[in-house]
Amino acid sequence: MSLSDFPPIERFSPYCLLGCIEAVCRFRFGIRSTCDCHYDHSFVYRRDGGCIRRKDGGLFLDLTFSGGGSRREAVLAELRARHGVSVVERRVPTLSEFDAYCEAALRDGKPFVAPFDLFYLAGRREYRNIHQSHYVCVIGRDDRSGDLEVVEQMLGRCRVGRQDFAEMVAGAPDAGYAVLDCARELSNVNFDSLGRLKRDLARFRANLLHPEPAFGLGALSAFRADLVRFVESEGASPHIFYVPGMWSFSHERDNFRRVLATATEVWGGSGASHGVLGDLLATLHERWFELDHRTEAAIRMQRPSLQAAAFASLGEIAKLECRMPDLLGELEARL
Amino acid sequence: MVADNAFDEALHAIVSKYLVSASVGEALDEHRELHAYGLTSLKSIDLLLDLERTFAIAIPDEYLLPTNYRTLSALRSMLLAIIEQGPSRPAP
Repeated sequence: MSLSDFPPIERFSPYCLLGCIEAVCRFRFGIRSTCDCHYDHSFVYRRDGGCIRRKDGGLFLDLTFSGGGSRREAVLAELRARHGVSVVERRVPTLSEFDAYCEAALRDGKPFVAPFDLFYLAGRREYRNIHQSHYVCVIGRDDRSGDLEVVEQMLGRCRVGRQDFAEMVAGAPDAGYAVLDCARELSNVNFDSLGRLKRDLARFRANLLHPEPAFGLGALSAFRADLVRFVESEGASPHIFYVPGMWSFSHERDNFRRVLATATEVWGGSGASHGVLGDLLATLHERWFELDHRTEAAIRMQRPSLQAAAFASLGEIAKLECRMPDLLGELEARL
Repeated sequence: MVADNAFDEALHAIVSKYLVSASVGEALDEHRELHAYGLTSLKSIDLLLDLERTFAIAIPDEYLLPTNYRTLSALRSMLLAIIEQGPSRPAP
């Protein structure tokens, strides 16, 4: 039994639970996107002391991002208010209880969200290596073997062996394993989307222009300047250039583009109202994505020469990012 | 250079090793993004290294962009272009 037309989970969704819920809502209720529930997750560059430090033979650069609103309760409350979707926990502490629930849900055409320890998900680098909490969507089950067909954010569709799943359920916390079911009641929708959009656009803009140099565009600019100075002064071997979690920058820019598109559509705005800003965010997503790949390739393929291109990319990214506050302001003024 | 069957089979076999979602022997859609088959960022670098070893080439820096290995079709075009150019430097 398999729900073959289940959509993929958005690859760059920054929060796996919401990515899974979004895919289920798209499949079951026809909601194009629920990423606007991540609205409070305003992305801003951040530095923690601005240091460039050596660790484990590598050069670790201090640039990360600040975001809020990833708390499960806050996201689920937004989901209910904006889209009328409630998420209910269904406790299935034993394998037989899970099997019964799974069979009934899939028979009714209802995929569901399942918490998953990546230690038990073959194909992920954490498999049989690191315990890491995660979520997947269950969309099918082999009646004979008991293997599950799941959709995971990075791997797409994949199979979970019965033995792996059984071990994971057996290792669930005291209260026992539980899955998440989604239900929708339009009467639950109660949201001033336009008011919220206006307030948040102003807040995003202020965050980017944050007066403290540790935040916003100032942090990005200082990061770039420090990096160039460090490499020039110490002649640092380029292949050790490394920014932990750089992939998240490209993810965040794609997420922000989708959030803005969804939020402006909710109140009836046309795509054109955020078109230039949307294009800029799409470009930034691509540039950060390329930079992340170049850096990864420079390290793992032993190609120091790639670093020159990486520096050039970083300069272009910084210039593009500086256009963002004005475009946010223009969009806010048009609402 | 025009790809022959042996080239395509070798390419398909290597790429398939890095795709979690594709079944063994499954025909891959040439134009579908490889990440949809489960090719992660980390694995894409492993794939490139494997391709360099197998085809005894060094992928020039200017080709090391995600767009060149986003789909099987793009990857195939990139490899054919590199092979056609001939060795500009020793293979790794």
